[in-house]
Amino acid sequence: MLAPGRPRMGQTGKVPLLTSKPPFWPEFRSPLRGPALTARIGRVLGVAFGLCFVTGLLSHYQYAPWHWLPVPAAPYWGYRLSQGVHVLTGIACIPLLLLKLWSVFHRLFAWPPVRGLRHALERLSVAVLVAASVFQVITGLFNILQFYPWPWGFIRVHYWMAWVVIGSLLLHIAVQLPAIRAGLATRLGPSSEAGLSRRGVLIAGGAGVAVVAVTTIGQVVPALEPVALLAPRQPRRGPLGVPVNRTAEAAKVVSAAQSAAYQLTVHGASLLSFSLAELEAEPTRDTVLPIACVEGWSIQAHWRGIPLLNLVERVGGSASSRVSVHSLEHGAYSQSSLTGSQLEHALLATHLNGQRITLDHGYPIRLIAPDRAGVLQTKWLTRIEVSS
Amino acid sequence: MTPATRSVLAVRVLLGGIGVMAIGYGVLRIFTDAKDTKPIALARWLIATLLVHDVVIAPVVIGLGWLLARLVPGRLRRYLQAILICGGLVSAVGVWLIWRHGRTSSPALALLRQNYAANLVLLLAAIVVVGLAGYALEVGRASRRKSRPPADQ
Repeated sequence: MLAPGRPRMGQTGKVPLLTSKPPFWPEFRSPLRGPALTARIGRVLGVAFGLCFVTGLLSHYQYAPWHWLPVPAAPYWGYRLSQGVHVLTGIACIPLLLLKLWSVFHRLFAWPPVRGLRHALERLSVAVLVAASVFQVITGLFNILQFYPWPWGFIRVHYWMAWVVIGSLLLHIAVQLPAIRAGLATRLGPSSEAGLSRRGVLIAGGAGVAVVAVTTIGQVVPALEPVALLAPRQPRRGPLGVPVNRTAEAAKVVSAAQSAAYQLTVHGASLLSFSLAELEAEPTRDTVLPIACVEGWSIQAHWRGIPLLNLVERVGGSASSRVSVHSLEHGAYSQSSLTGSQLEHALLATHLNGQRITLDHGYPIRLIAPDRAGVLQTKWLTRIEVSS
Repeated sequence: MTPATRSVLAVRVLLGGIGVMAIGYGVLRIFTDAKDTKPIALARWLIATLLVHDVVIAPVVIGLGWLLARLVPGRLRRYLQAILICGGLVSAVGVWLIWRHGRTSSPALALLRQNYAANLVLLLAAIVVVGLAGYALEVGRASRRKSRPPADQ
């Protein structure tokens, strides 16, 4: 066994395996790559990842808000904006990330591969960042496409991996800060006569990212739907001009929702029970609110329905009550809760865009409230519970 | 150490510390939620993701660049590189849509109902046209410069 710090071989005190590059080791020269280019792409990608992380936290908050800080009703388009930005930025991160990885790919072949413990940890942190980032944007896209070729629950993994991604990004910035500052302070350099310049790479890459963004944003901004060639959703093509994410058939509520025995019960200090005919005789209010899905698409629609607060007050509740609404369906999205300003503005919708809502949209009644994730706009309601 | 260097170091330590804590938090919660997050399968996916990029995507892109540098002359190469970068990045999103097109449970979802193959071809064609138009403009400008008589005639 060798004493610590004692050279194993050679007179120089260095390990020959690590000092002389083996002949098979790739030689990588690229006049285009360099800190000036990488730092500029990285700056944009860093901002995009930051936006994705913050908007992701906002979306996650919708599912489990603190009781003392309920999700507000204003702005009513808040979730539409934040989740639209989240998904659009996430999709744009796919080309951005590829461009960034392309700009540093040569460093994978740096010799020696490891210069010591600190260098090994640095390279390990880069591997974590690359794997976690690519994983996050690709699995995020698969979720939008409703494609789940994995055994884990997407929501939790996406959320915890977001912490890994943002953490490894911050660590990477901390390690590379001097190089980033130097890169940003360095001019991109003159155009190469032989091929594309670094500025050209930024322009071509930026154009690619812009094309992706412009051709997907139409699933959030209806005016851009005609150019939404890469948008996974076309919201206006849904029934009654609004897509559904879970059909009545998938939720296994087709017969229960159309049953003559259907009832809506409201449980509070007292109990109210409504048949379908009684519900339809209740006074209604009209409103214009968006349905904004966690998958990024959204569309504004005209709704008519019974103000939820009216029923809550009739069983002894108020705007400060905590109200949970329950669906005929069973499973993860069979109920949701609301309180405060969202409760004040919530409707039990009977009509959508001037027509009686269809089975897939939540017939006989569904919840619609402002600034709320689509998955929490519970459909096929059958029970409402009011607690103080 | 100057005050400026000290403050940069402080920022790096702070960022690094927050970063390590965030990674630790995420990893810890993945393991505490193991029933739902399936850490072993997740680790396999992460390694596979890294390998697909480093062993497949990156070498193919590097190989294309290498071929382009040897087969295409400078000025045309510049525009072809730009077309390939822009088109490649757009395709990196488009191919997934083509692959999943039509594989949804109901038309009511209004999901993946477009002809994405045709849409991507249209976008790539537009990128090629813009790129080649730029090349033609540059060639035209260069030939006008050559044919212009000297200023003193």
